Amino acid sequence: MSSNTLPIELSQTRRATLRRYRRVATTLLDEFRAQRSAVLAAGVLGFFVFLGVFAPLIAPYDPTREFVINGQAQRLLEPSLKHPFGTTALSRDVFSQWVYGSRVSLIVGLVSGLAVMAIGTSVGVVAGYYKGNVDLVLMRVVDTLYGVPATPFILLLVLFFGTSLTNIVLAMVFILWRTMARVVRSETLSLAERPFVKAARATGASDFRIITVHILPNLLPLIMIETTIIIAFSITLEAGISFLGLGATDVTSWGTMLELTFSSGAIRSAWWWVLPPGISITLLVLSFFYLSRVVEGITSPDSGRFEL
Amino acid sequence: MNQERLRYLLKRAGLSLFSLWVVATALFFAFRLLPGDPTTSVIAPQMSASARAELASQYGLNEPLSVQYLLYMENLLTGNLGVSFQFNQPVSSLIVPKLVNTLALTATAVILAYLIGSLVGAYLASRRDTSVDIYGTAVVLMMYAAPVFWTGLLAIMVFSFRLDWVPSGGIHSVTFVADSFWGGYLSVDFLHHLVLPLVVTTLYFLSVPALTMRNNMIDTLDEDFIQLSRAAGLSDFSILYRHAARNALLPVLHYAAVSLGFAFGGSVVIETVFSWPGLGQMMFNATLAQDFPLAQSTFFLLAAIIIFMNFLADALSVYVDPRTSATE
Repeated sequence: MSSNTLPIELSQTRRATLRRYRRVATTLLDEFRAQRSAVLAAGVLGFFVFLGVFAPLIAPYDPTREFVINGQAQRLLEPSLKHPFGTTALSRDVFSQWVYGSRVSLIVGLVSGLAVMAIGTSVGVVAGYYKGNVDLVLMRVVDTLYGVPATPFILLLVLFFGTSLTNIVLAMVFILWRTMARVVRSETLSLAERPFVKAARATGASDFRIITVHILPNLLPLIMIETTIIIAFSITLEAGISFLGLGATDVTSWGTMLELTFSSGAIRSAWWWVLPPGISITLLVLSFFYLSRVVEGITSPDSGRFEL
Repeated sequence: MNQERLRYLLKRAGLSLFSLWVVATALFFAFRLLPGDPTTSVIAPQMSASARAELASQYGLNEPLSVQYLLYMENLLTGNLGVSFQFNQPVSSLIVPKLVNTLALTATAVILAYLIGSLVGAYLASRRDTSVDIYGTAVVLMMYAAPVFWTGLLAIMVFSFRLDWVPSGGIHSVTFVADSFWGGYLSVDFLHHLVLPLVVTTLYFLSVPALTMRNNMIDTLDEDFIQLSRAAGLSDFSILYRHAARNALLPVLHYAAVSLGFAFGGSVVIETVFSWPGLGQMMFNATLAQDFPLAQSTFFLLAAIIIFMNFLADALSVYVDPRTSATE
């Protein structure tokens, strides 16, 4: 008898859980659809992801190929059917470079965003939960990092260790986790004083369980908002470093494209070379800002706030 | 209350000094423990062997690392920052004019951005959820998302090369001769060069105060005393700018100091686009030329300015809002 009812009960609870999940998912989806700007932002991001993933299929030429016709280098050609975005001062195809450039921005944003999320959250939660000397030491590190100018710091590191995408991303992560750690810490400090955390502690839950089961899920919206902002910020930061001529030499990025338009003096005439990378960086960064607002809109619907 | 405030300020000042010390120490080790000849951090490699040896003993480079460290700290505290390889001049004499140039552009831009940005933010909040607010916020965000070097490029492309209204870079015309140090900054020629970079950077810095102000105003407008003023029949204008804006302005003031520090770090990129001979450009060129004394000193100075501005932000916050020291 009992061996018969137990599976039924279990499947019932399971079905209830599933139903609850489905309800949460549809609410999220509805909320998302309700915000037109969010749909647009997701569309823009999706477009660039598509561009990056299928770059070899979309780009008509190799981004480093130099076009020469009858011994005549095809420099700074205006847009045409053959070259939809024209050519560069080095007679390369702007369209192909632009397509491949999306890869760099997306990878830089994603990798540094995730790394900053992991480091910043861990440090912030540990400092906010354990307080005392642990907090004191960790927050002094964060304070000091706040005193370091980001762009000059990355310049110095890249100068010491060489210009590669890996080094740029490492240098960015090294400095950018400070904001994440600070906001997560202060939220953890207040969460740790809430009744449900105290109750969990009273029932003998371990620190690990309190952190993972009770605190982290409540931090999730904040972490998501911060991460999208960090992604956006690191994309512009990488573009800036590349613009200074210290970008990755092994790949074509939107920042290095803009560096060449400037150093070659092509900004005098070649608008077709200047516009695509800049517009793309702006749109991509903007889409992350609006995606962070979706999270904000779901967690505190009437705040109408816009965090940067 | 006042004593509590003072204790808080002293604590923040102590922490700022600590950060400064850590940065200085990190720089010392970064430049000395690198692979290669450690003397290059102070002495130009192209000097003759005897000159090198003389300088090496002068800077104590033959001493053990601990003695070198003490010497380095002493030199730093007394403003003796070494001699630039490229210019063969004391670093401190090179830095001062560049600092003034950076201040003229960056500080002006940040101040303008905060004045205009706060007004824009307050206005957007008062038109909350109307199309003015939605599109206005989108424009403000776009100005923040667009890389400032790119908007700078576009501005140069249009206003310098197409329309030929303003120069494409630099701080003075080639033919310009200043009658005095400050006279150079009060001339029409300087203003003519300043316009374009100033407008571009101001628009870039405008987003943070505008959005912060918008957020704060939205929160403030929901508070009881605003409802009360409305019930008392005060005009919308008076409620918005005399009552709500004053309260919403406090956190914006805090960000102003932080932004100014942040702007110094970002000056590298802005000054490169506009060939503006400031600290950022100097730091960048020194780094490229491997002019270690100059690169090290400008980096330290930028860090010191940021740390000071962060301290100033904290100090401003307790001054205008006494609750800060209690909640930290």
